[in-house]
Amino acid sequence: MIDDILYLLRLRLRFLVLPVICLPLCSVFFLLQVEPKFVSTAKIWAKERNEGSNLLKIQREGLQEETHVKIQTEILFSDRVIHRVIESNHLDTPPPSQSIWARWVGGQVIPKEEDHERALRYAIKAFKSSLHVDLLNPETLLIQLSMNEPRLAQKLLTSLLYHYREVYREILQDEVEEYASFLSREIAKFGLELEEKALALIDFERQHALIPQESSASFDPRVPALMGKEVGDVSPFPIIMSRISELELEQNRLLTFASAGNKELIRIGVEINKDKDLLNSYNEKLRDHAEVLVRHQELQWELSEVRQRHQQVQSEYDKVILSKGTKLDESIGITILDEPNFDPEKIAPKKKVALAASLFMGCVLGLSAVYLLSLLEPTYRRAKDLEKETSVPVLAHIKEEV
Amino acid sequence: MSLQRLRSELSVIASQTKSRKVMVATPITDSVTTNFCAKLVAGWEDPVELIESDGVLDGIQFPLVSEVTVPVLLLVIAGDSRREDVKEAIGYLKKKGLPIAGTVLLERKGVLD
Repeated sequence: MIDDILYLLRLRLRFLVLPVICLPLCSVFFLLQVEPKFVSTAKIWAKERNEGSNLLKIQREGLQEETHVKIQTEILFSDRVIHRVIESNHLDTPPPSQSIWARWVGGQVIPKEEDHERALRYAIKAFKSSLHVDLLNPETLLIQLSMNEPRLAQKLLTSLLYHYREVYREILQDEVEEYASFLSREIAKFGLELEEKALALIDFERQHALIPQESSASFDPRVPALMGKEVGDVSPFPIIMSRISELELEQNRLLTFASAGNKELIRIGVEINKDKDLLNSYNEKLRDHAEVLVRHQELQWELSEVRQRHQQVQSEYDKVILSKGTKLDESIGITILDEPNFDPEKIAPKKKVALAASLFMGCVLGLSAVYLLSLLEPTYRRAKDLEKETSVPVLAHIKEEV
Repeated sequence: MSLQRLRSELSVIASQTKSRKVMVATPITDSVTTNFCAKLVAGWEDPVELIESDGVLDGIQFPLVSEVTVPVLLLVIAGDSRREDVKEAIGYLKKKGLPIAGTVLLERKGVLD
């Protein structure tokens, strides 16, 4: 078995040696050209804000505890933040190369992009690819930024955190202003409605002089009691009813002995009818008066309702205006737990690992090639193989030129 | 194995036949047969009669087949003769009823380099 392996290796030595030499050489070339990577790390605590306004308060259903911190991650990765970092640090021109080759030759060739927009897009993309954010828990983020210089990584991470907070504050500011604007429109709307209702009430009171003036100032919802009181104080009902009863008694008494054509009887009948008409007429007036009172109270209730809503919106608006200033700054809720720092040791490339890996890969590749070629070998090269496969004895293995 | 050993082997094989002849062939016709035979006979004091043949798979001529059975020595050129040709040639010879004396593996210069 070992003889076979050694024979194969000897036979295909070039296929073994070639990758073993080439891969480490490629690796060396790569190591010369590749940019080193240094990482800067920071840790932030992104508390969920709690506004004074109930309507601005974030309410979620279910157990989406990480939503807030995921939104923070999205903001960190947003073009709005990264664009500002790139602009403020002039990163639209790539930073000088720090590869071994670039340092050896001295000249650091920076490919200058003519189109500024395009350069900016590339820079944003490159920045995003070098930024890494880990969620440590539902409120804490670990941010890592890798660059080809340790101090550059630290500087850019500091800048990133600054612009991230700025953008987040702007987002909150926009949100508050938008809501305040909405409330302001609502206040104006309710103000107009309030005015309309008040005018309608005054007009109504003017048209109906019977309504007591103090009723518009103080609204009393006890409508039936009020009506009863008014009716009881001035009502002629009992007198008229009593008189009709007396007249009917008299009429009955006369009917027992007088004929239907009796003049007295006729007069009493006329009196009774007059009183009944009076009673009916008075009833109608009372009903009209009650209807007016009910309508008046309706108008008062509507006015009161609009006034209450107006006051509620005004109160909400005041709260929002308060939280727009200092309270908003407090409620941003981002605390930097660990300031951006840097590790002077680069994280990539690992020279020893890269060389060892390339050597190992070269060996694996070479051995695989040797094995594959031996499998695919279409001819006999050894007497042993020939005898084994054909079952015919090999009489001689002549190596010299024939 | 050297040529000398091969000669003695062939002498033994030939002595077991009536004709004392050995046919030398390759799977596919090749000029190496002539050279090999010449090299083998040269300096051989009591040589067996070698019959040079064309390639087994190229329509081998068996002039003596009808008269007497001749063992065949198959020449296999290392790094040149294809495995399936060698196997096919052996199968063909067996099918024709010819005894196979054995094979010789030749390393022709330049083939393995």
